[in-house]
Amino acid sequence: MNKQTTKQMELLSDFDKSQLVDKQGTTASTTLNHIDGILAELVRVRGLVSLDESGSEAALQSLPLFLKRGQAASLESHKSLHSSASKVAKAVEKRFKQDANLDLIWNPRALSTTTTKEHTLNKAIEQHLIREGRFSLAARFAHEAQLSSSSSQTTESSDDALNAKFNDMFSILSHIKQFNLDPAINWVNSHSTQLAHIDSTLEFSVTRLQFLKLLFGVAGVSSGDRNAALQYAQLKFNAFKDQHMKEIQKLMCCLLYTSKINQSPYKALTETTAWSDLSHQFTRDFCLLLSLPAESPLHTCISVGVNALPTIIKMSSILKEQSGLEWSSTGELPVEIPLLDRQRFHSVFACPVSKELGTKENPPMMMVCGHVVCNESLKRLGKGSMTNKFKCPYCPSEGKGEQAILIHF
Amino acid sequence: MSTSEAKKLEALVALEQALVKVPLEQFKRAFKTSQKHVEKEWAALATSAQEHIAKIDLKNGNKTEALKVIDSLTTRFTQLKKKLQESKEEELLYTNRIRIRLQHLDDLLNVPSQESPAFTRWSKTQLDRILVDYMLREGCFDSAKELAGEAGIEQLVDIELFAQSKMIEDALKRRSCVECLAWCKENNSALKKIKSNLEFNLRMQEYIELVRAQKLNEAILYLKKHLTPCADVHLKEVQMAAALLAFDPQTLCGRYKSLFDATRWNLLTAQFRATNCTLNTLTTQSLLHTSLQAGLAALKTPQCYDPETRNVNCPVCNASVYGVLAEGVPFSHHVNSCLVCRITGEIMDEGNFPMVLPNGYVYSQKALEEMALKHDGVVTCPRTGQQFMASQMRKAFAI
Ligand SMILES: [Zn+2]
Ligand SMILES: [Zn+2]
Repeated sequence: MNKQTTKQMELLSDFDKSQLVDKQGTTASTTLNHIDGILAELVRVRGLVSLDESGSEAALQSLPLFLKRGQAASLESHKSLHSSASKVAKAVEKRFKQDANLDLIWNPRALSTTTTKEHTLNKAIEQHLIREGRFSLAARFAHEAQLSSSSSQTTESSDDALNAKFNDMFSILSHIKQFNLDPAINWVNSHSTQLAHIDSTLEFSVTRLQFLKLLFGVAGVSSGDRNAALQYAQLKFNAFKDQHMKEIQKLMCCLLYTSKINQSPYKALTETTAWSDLSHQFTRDFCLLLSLPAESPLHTCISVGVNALPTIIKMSSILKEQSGLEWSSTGELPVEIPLLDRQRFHSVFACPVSKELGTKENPPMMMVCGHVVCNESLKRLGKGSMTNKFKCPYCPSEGKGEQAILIHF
Repeated sequence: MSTSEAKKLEALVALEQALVKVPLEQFKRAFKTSQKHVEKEWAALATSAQEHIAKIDLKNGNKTEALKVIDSLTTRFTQLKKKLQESKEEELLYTNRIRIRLQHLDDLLNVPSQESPAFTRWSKTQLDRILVDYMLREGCFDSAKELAGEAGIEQLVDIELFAQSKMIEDALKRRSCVECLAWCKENNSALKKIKSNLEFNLRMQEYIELVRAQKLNEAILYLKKHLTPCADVHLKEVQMAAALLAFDPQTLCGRYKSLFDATRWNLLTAQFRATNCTLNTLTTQSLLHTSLQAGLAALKTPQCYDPETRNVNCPVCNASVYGVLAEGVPFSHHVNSCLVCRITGEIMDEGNFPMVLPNGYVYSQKALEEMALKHDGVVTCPRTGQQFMASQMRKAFAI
């Protein structure tokens, strides 16, 4: 724990030690105060001179020194600011000393060979903005990047359709944020069949949350009403009794605890995270119904890419040294890029016997014991014949090649 | 947090050096301006005041002279004050900005893990920053400003820098070198350090334009004043420039014809842009391009191009957009098995076994058990539509 706290705000504390912000402030005020002093002195001397006052000669003659003193003081203050700035610059240099030169790994041919690709990229950005609910920005960007003039009629209208659909989604989400479930309830009711088709539990989730809202109320929005909740339950829960009986029982038990729910076993049901969870589930199922990815593909690509860059930078310089090749011009990356679980979209099957990757030509086969090897390995194990009996390399079971079944991940 | 996770975050911070270096350079420039005002201008004012005042003898009726000196000093110090206020304001802007950006990087170093919501939030902000940067580079200023404002990241993007750059680029598009030459003068020492020939190329272009307009006397004067002094470094170009006087702008003679070519202006614009990025420690390519290229390669698999194995959540599988963008990048490389459930998207392993239906299709234990629970023990293969009893599924040992 101690170690953790010393590590926190490491960059910032280095910076604050340099006092750059403070010194900039004092230098600015010192400098400007001296100039103000000079301007005031000029006014004073001018008054004396124009009225032929007695001390005017002396005041006039001492002006140059006054100007110089101010200059010297400001200059001194600037020197101290300069040394602060040098400290910051040194710390930054030290921190970023491994010069991660991103330009070196950039291959201009890989992405923007053609104007169509540039256009496609801008389209991708526009769609991303729409998905994020930034509708007016998406329109502005499309205009500025001249997307509409060069795109065909069909993509135009499909964009409008996408726009309208996401408009629905964001308006429903914004209501959920304000603890209003009515638009969400309307939407799930009108999409009930489609939701059932994708095995979505969204309908129940919305109903359940509405019940909890009626029962306990939402701080600052509405107060709880046990009778209303009971009525709602009698009206709605019947439709879900087959699939969600357990959960319904739990919800009905809540009725017994209303005022003391926080001391009850059902405390978790009142947490406000239920609302953000619903938003999340709503977004996911909404996208699924439209056959759209649950996350913005642009965000997925960029976050995978940024994570991959350190590996690619390292690999790129080794590759160039060894073979003079650009990393991006190879058919396959020479190293594996680490991906987070949520960034894996396709199964990779590496045969435990031959280490080869499964392909259409050499697919994974499951033997009678449940162990999976690739088809080539299966043939080799049976000494070239599918009717030869052999022992599984991973367990004592015996079987024939012909008994194995082709499997699809 | 594990050390490997901490190392990963550290590597991500290392990619962000421009985030800190850009405002630091901007601060240094504003500081230099302030310092110049104090060190040169202020000192000069004091010296000239001394010279003038020494000559004045009030007793001998030099009063008007004295008032004139005082008034002129007042005017000039008022101007100096205005200039210093401006450069000090800039300094303040950039010191605050450095601080905010360091804080932003510290935020990344302090996320509990890459699976945490804090990391997702950070990475969303990073995407917004990358998009603003891309929009600025593409000249979409209104979009860039709107996005920066909506996302609340004005201090994390460099709108001023690109706005200044755009002004100069626009001037070059209008075929005016004046603005860019002024910029060269401002950044003279930095340009010398990187041995940039941008200024020479700009001068050359102004000269070529004089020849094109057949203002030959002016051209000769210009040649003498701005180009021949550079003959020690650019001898060949200066010789060519001199020879140009002999050619008509309609000339068909190869290398001279190319000097009159209008595309030279585009090259100047590109060179200015690249130089400006270098001076500000920015990459010449937007991070959007670089990271998208890397991301597509890391995600691209042969399955992405097979309709049977496409996954709606995979960007590369989106044939009309990311599939097109990924055409030219390499496929990802995999060594070990990693099985992804086609229903839930979750990884299938010891905690969530891959289960084989009688038709050979594999799904995660969790997904099939949940389905069986809801449908009285019946499971439906989403890819073939076939129905089976949950009891018919078998564990596959594939890892
Ligand atoms: Zn076995
Ligand atoms: Zn894919």
